[in-house]
Amino acid sequence: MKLIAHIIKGSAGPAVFLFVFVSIARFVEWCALGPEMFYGANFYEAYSLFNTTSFTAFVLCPIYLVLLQKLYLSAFDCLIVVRHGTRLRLMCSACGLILSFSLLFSVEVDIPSVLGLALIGVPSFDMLYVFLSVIAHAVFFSACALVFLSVKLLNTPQFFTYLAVLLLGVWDFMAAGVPGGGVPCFAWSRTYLPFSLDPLGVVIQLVPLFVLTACAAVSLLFSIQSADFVLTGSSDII
Amino acid sequence: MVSSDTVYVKNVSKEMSKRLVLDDVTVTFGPGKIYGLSGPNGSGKTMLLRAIAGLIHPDRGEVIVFGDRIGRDISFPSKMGLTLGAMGLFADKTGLDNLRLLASVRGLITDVEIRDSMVRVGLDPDDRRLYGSYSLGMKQRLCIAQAIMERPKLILLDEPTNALDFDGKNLVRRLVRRERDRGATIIVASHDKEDLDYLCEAKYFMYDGRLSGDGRDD
Repeated sequence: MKLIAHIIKGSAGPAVFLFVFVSIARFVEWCALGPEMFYGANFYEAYSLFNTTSFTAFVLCPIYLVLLQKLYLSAFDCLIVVRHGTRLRLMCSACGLILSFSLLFSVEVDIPSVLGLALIGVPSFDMLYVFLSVIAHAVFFSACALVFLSVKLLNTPQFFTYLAVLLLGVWDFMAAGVPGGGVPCFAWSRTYLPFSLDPLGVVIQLVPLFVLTACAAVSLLFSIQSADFVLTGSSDII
Repeated sequence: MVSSDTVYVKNVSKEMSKRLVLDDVTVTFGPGKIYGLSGPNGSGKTMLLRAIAGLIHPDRGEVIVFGDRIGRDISFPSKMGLTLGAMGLFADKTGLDNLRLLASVRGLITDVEIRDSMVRVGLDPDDRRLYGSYSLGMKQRLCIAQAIMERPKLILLDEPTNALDFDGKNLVRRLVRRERDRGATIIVASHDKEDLDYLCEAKYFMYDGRLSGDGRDD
């Protein structure tokens, strides 16, 4: 637990940078979209506009990738790996780290959204909706982290590691653009919860995302069991 | 001969990036002895240490540490300390805090023992300097401290006197001998002939993944 806490705390510096960057990016997006898009929109519509698949695909996922690289270097050094005793215990530790890290990242990217909504003068907030959305975002980013580590631990070239995560981020964006539809969405667009938050609707919306995350977790378990750990110090660079 | 106090490497081979990094290696390491692995860079010394530590899966053969098969009975030897080249410690923590963090994973030792391990390698546990500002020699000493602080039964040292001055080398050599006297099995990989001559009771040579030598100290 101490180690996980330290690694998360070690992300504080980059997290502040991330917060500022995402805030600026959201402001630029707001200007580009045109403020008139937001005026008259209710809280839910405006909040959705701040969390588009394109923003996730082309801004958030690339930033998250950089942070994941740092996480990998911290958590999978040989000295730390052997201390876990078993690869299964290492997997549990990795999952704890991923969940904490993803939650932190989700909170960080959602705060600028909420601030943006306040700035444009949305009349009312549904904080329960925001809270549940943050959880959903955390599940998505956990899936990204699990995929990243699964591929990374198999010593695949850096390019394919990044591609795997970026594909996950971009999938729903591409699927939405397919004429006639028919391509399933199971990633970021699954975090758009029904505005009414009816329990059945929420479950139906989130199940594919949880299935994706569970599959990614199984994939990480396989990778950890079969990996050759060769990382020492900062020998692995971005 | 496999027993509960030996490390037995049996016909281990490993290929990485289409290169045979370990080629049918068979060797036994017993308790209370210091073994040396010499050889040029890329000869497989570090890979052999990794195989013993459970960090890599051999393609063929097996490693048995104190009666447990690595990769089957256990993933990583439990009573093991190791140093492997560059250290993955945290640059924004002091030396003591780094050791505390590492010790917290297993939770086997007290703060007193952690501090003692730093003193034994000639470092001040109350030094407030961050690890990132340590000299190479200090980093190497902390490296050794984390390997010995839990009084392991098996100690794997990769280039332990690298970057150390004369006094530092002597201190590490004395430390290693003290660990040997405690009954630990110690395997030192080094291309420093002086280190190996001074420390090791048995020496092996590695080249292109193959191990040779009969372990006799010559």
